Amino acid sequence: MVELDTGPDVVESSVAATRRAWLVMGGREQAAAIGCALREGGWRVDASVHTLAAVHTLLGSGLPPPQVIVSGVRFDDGDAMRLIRLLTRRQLGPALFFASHQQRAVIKAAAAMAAACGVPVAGVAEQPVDPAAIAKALAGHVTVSPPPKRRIAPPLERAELFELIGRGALHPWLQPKLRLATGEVTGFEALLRAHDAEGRLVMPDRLVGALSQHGLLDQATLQMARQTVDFVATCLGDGLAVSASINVSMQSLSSLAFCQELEHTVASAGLDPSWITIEITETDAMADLATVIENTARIRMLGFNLSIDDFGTAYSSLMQLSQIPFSELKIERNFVAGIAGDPVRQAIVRSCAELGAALGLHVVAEGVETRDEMACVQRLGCSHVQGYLASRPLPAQVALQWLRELPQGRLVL
Amino acid sequence: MSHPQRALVVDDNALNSRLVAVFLKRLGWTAQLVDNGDDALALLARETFELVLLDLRMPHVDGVEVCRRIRGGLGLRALPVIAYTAHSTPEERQRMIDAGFSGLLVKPLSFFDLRELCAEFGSPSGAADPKVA
Repeated sequence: MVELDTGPDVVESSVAATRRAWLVMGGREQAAAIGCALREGGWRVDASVHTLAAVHTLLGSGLPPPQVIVSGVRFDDGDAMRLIRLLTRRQLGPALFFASHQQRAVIKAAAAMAAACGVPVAGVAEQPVDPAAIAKALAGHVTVSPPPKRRIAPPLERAELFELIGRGALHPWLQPKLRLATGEVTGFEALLRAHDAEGRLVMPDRLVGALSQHGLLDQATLQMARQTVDFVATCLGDGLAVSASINVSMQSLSSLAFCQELEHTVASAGLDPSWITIEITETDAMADLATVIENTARIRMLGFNLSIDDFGTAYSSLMQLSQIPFSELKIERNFVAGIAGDPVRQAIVRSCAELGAALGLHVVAEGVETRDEMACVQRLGCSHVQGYLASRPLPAQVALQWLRELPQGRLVL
Repeated sequence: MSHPQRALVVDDNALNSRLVAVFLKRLGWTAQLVDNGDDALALLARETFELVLLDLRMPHVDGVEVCRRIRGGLGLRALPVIAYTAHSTPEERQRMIDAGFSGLLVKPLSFFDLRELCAEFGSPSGAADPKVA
């Protein structure tokens, strides 16, 4: 119910058409230079302040928030991290552009924190801060609609989930995994999809949490597993050597009935269980050690392969990891995105790959989308890749056709 | 061209054996399939093979025991016997070599792994040269 004193609609629309920026910089001279460069670049600089207290005042003044705030990292009365908190609490839409003489690690940390808080980052400029370069970097800035406006479809209700399972409407969509040394498509990861009563595709973010919450994850996983096992058996019968992996929660693995049903599923398809890899997340692998070893050892004893998914996202104890009988390690996609130009990501992926190789594991880089990323992870020691570069997840029939059309089961990228 | 080389494939899983046979054929080999260790030992006592692929997980007599009898009872010490297993850790590899195996073929099977194995253990004079580049 805030009444703006800016008044008539005409002013509002002209404000909306203008690109507006605020400056929050400790140094006055630097702020003035950047302000000049922005104005020359077509921006209207509505405010230039030097302290967090002044930002507070501005935010309470009724002045419409800008599209971009160009910010330093240190102020007399605070820092960029507190500014981020201020913007997060207010749920304002401006993007932050960091310009600072601070060390690169500090600026990167501020940008990472902003991203973690849902505050968009328009860019960073390091020492020496060049006002013209900032204006140039912001020239192409496109204001993204603030997150609260985006309507996120809610997780499904219990009755809807029952209906999907009852109708057999949960399906695996299969994303190929490529062996780098030979170009062979060696397997697929089965990813959960559903079709609702109107035939619309339902994605896992609306399914997995809800299935788990309503105690339906075992049933859903088994429904996926049966179709995935059939897919692999069909491939093998066609002379195509591909495995498949299924995501399984530690809770499901703890259930003897679940494991027996999984064993029964592969046996009735005549499939050697080693063609099926059970993927558990790193977070699950870090649960109570005795429980994790019990469940993973059992699944290996039954002949399934075992993969640790999202590696690098949890606080792993390497000692605990080394005690779990994995056959594969999958490096989380966030370490792969943009790796070619990022020495820190390269160091992380290299050490994960070395660890995996020393333990005799396949090392899969997930989320590989470009040739540069593929070349980089290969150089760093990953044995396999998965991601949009090879293919998006495909419905089983489409995946089968895709595979049949590959010469000798190899994908040349 | 000399006669095709012969491999004995010992696996109780029919899908696996058929796939290996398809791949071996593509590599210019012929494959004899049996689904248990006793039949494998009986066959090896009568016939000559250039390579034995032995699944470790079989009912009755497991792969390690079959290998022991090939080396001991049958005295075939030079015959390449490959363990077909889902376990690829360096420890497991060493354990298999210590048990008398010549090498490992790691599950799940890959055509290129099998091709490498055939190139390593097949006789160079045989027709085992890969037809596929």
